[in-house]
Amino acid sequence: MLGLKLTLRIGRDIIDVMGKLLSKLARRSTYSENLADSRAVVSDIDSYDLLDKATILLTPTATSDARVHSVKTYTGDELVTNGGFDTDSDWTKGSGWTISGGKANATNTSININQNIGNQQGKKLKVEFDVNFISGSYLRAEIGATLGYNITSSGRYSTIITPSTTSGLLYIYGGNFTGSIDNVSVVDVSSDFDFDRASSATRINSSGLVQDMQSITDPELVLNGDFEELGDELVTNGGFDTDSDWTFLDDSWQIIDGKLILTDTSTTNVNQAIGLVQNKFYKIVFTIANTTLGGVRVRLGTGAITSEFTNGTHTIYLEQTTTNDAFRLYASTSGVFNGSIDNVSVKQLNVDSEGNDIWTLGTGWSIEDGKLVGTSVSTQFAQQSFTFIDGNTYKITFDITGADTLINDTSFRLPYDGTLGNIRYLEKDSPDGTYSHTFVAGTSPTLYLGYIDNGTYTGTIDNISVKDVTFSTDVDLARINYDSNGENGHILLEPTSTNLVTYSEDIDSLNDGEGEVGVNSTLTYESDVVAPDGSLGVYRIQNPATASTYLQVTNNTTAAQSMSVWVKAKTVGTNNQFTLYRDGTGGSASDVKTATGDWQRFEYSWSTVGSGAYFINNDGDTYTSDLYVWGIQVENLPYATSYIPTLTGSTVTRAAETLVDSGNTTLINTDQGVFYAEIARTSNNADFELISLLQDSDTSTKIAIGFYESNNNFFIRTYYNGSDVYPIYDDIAPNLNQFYKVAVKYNRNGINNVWIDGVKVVSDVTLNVSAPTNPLTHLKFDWNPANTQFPFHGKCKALAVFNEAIEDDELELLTGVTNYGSFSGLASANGYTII
Amino acid sequence: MGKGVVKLGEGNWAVKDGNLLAAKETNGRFKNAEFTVTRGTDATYVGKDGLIKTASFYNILPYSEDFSQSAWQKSNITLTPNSITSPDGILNAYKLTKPTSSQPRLFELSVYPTTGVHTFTSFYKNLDGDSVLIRLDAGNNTANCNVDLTTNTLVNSGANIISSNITQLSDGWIRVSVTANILSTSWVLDAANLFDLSVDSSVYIWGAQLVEGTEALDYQYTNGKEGIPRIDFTDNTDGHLLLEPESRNLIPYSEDFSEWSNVYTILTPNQSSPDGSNNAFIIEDENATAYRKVDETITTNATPHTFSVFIKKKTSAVSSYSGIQMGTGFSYVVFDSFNGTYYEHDNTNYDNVEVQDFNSNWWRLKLTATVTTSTRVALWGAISTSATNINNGATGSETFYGAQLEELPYATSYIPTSGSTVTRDAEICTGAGEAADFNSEEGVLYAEIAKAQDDNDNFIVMSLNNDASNSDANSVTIGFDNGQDFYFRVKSPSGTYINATISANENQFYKVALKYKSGDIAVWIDGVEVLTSTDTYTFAVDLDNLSFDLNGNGTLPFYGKVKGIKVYKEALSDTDLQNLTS
Repeated sequence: MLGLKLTLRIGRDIIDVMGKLLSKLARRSTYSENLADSRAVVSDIDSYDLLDKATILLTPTATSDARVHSVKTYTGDELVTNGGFDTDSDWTKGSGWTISGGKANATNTSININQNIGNQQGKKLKVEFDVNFISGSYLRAEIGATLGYNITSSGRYSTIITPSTTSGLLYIYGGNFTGSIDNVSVVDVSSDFDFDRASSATRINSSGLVQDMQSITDPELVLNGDFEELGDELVTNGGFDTDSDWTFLDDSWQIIDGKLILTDTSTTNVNQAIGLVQNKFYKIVFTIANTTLGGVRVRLGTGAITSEFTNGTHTIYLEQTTTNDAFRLYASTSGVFNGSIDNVSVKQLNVDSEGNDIWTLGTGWSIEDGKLVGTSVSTQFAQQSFTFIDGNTYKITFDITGADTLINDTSFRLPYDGTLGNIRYLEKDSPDGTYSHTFVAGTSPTLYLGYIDNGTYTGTIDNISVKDVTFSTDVDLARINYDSNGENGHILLEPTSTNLVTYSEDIDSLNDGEGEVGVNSTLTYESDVVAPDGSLGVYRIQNPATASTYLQVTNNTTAAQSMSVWVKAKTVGTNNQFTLYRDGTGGSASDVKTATGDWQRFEYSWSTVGSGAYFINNDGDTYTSDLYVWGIQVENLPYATSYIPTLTGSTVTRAAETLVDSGNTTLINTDQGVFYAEIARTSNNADFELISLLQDSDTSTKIAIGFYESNNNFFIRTYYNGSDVYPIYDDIAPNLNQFYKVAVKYNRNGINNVWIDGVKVVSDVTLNVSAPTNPLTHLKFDWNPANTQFPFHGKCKALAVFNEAIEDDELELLTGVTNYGSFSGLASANGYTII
Repeated sequence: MGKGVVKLGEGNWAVKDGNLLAAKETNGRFKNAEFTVTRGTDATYVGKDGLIKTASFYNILPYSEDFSQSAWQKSNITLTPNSITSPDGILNAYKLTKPTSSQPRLFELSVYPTTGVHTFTSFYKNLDGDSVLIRLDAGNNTANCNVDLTTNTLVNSGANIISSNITQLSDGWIRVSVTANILSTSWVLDAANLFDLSVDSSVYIWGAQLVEGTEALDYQYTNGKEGIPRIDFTDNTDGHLLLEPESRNLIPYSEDFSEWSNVYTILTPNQSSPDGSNNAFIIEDENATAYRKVDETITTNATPHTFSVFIKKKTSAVSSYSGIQMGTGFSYVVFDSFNGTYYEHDNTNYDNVEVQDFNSNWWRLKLTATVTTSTRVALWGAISTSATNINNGATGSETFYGAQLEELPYATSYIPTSGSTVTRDAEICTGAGEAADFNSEEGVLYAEIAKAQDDNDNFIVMSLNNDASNSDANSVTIGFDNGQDFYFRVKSPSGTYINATISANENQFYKVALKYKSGDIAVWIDGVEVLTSTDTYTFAVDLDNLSFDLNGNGTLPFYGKVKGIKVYKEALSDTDLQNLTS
């Protein structure tokens, strides 16, 4: 039975299935994104009735430090019972342990509390619990004779343990530990992958912007960078809900019906002592309504009185210039105000939770209207306490106006750490906009801003951001990369590569260093143009139709094989053509490139490896180019890889990525199954690039999907007991960056075949062989169980292992490019009119 | 083996120019397994509302996507097919490039026979060309619309332009519609004029459509207008595929009876008709002393012919009866348009007289006989007062529509004429599926089918076969033979099972299933296992093609009605086959 059975989906709710999977995934991962696409992939597989058969299912959605999480693990179920210690049960308590108050409490004990979670030998288990560490030498977990790490402070304990014995006892114990534990969790995560990349790297994020992976985890380090930081509310009864808290000098001002009104002509004020501090800045908000005559004025202490305000909610910024601490409201200069006042608020600006100034302002600097304002400021800093780490790289970005007030190009210091060698200047007459400064810091305890070496400065600064962009091995995240339109999320794996250009974005500095702008070219900075990474400000190069017009991007000695750069036309359709050019022995130029109104990354590679200089030249129909240029990269690889920013005058190397060690004998059926991947080749690399199901130690049985070394074709192989089941499949050369759905059905006692994009490309081969001595245990993005050999460098949108040899029609669905959930959907997609 | 089932029909119908959609359904997912359909002419069918429709196209342009066709004129323009993915998700959009400074145009000349208000629509996407000019009366410059592809804005010009509109789609595509009143009787449509582009600049185009009226209408694919499959809803709500042989309506005016020879009848035109418009006639006899009729004499072959005509139902019992006759040597058919009954009076009886209860308002009367070389067809508004005789004292009227005389022993779908005879081409429906959709070792070919005549002139069959061989040497066939029986066959080089011994009635739907598996062949009809065989066989090549003929090559095409087809990849159990055919 039963070909006749229609596809009723009984008793299953896809939303519940998806929600359950993603919920489990969220528990195991630190970061998640691309959920809609991943949900679509999983939903498709579920709609084919294959989800239950998948033991490993990887989509580009969930990562943690050095981990990439499979959407579907073996069960994902919680293995611990009563991990929240809601009752005094399920646990065996050693001496010194008690369960009470929803926790397991320990008093100076080195004995364990334990629970049997069953035989988990060989599985990767994620063990977590909360620790309140009061005293002792350590606390740790142990399962099946495998120890977790020692924790010596309070926090969330989290580790991966692979039990080496069949013992299923989960032990938690310490050395003379006093404290408590709670929320104990053990989950089988054997389908998750180990990830490694010993450097940062960039990706295209889901907004279509270039993003440094480090920035995902880098916190904002500056305080009050938007100058909007406010202290506590200083006014009591600002809503005039009661007739209290305000001081009236006569009966003319009164609180009536929740409003402050003036009942007679009066030049007196109504005030409240709110602790105003001299030389501090305050944000004042109030609402005036129903004004028919006169207006309201505001005063801090005994300082200057503002001009009149009438109807509306008003926000003003004032400095307290006197020692009187009262906030005052006046009617017009003639003492007239026919209207009402409500919702009065006064808060101190630039103050932390302890009442201290965040920014220390030198003479001439003030905070007004949510900005740092310089008024004829000279040799004075705006500064704040800041702990720079010696040797780390910091990137500071900020918005500025008023560069036209500078006296020259070496007067306004960009924000820095006070180290003499890190001083750089904002050029005179730079347009208003966003600028950045990246430098390697010393040990300075202070962030300095706005020192004027010569002349004065009048303008505003806002939105200061300071980030430590030094690569940290503490958080090593795999890249979920997207197409330039922010769609089509995939895991991107690349080899190591170095950007040989020393300033990839700061072309002015490049011009001063290892690059050169042709003497007849013009290089300018346009601060209002959005760069491919979403920041403001890029360089524009104008190359007129004459000699010596180019942008040389390295010195003349660098050996390389490819070049890439983001380019956008200044004017769409005009002077927008150029070539990428390699000088030196065997020099060559790319075909003519045409820039558009959108940022595009243009690439050029050449076959001759050798030293030379590399250029962006004017070319095309007019031989004149006027282009925005960003993110220049020269690599000694025969193809361009993802962008590697170089911001400090040095080359930067992105390390190779590895993604390995998912699976075990439970998840991978050695006798039969289906190995499926949706992958794209990113280069015509001269090496194998493989994803494999592997044995633990020997190599006599393997199943591999990937790309061939010699002809850039597919490479698909099923290898049982030292023999190929069918000749290695390598008949088709996949298009670069095009995703293909590949499935290998393997069966040592049945039919083997291969499918690509819905077509059976290797016909049925019936096999009948004995079981391999060693079972398949590993799923890796390479070809060797022990080492990194033939790593897969490319894109992966989905990877799955099914633990049975599913039927051909289901493989057709799984790998098919076009199938639909309904007849009407099929009809609509194919241009049919439904009758 | 497999779970997939190739399905056609059973209430799921979808058609387009030249194709009928079948689907392979596996685990609730649907994959394309479409048939190719050719006919070459318009044809009528009965829609869901019971009215006669024409299977035709509202998109006037013959090739909506294939701009390489000569119907699309090119001037100073470079076309690159399959440049990017079009809005239908397929890599089939054209890139249009301006190669020189001369004015580049992609235009259509053949639209000039139709004037009046028209709406042109097409899909565009910018590359670096930034604009495209659309002109509905290019030669006279009376209806222009310039599309700025960078801002997606439109600028109209010309005296006859009525409106334009732009619809934003995904992936940068837009659909532009331009409506204009075309006055010129010799006008040219510019689908893309790239005069404003820089040299070597390009735009993309896909899906052009021109319709009459002010509404853009949903995009309708055309590819030479080879034919839209007909899904007919006569006598059922799920519809059936109607496949018919070539036929010609020999009557030059099938609807306008004023063009017939009129023997003193009173003709009242503009009556509501079975096609929903007002083009039927009342034929009235007001003289109580004479016969009154309209007739036409047609040159015919001395072969079986069928005359058919629609007669409006009376809503109460009648006292006078209309008359219909084909061939002066044959009977006068006295017709009761209230009860739908008839009486053959005098002369030779017809081989067959059939009254079809066409819909709630109309009968269709069909007379079949072998005629002579000159055949008169005649209609009397009142020919009898008794229903069992004729008499010239009868007076009264009848409403007639859609007279058809065709050289076939049965009536086919109505073929309208208006001044000359009209031929409806034969339909050919072939080529569904691929090897992965079928199982050459075992399976079931099922269909719910009906034939149009009791005693067929020829075999009408459908088969699973091998596409490349163009042969029935390896095939599984079901249908009807060239007599009165069903036809079932499993044919292979190593053995052939044939049976054609079970009779089938005309116009009756049967659910038939042929289970094929070497040594286990069975035929089920309407829930009953009627034949079994243990004949063994082995196909020499894969079965990879499902077609409405014997061999995938047009031999012995199936003409009749098809409510549904299913092809299973496994030999179903008896229980399943019983359920399937019940």
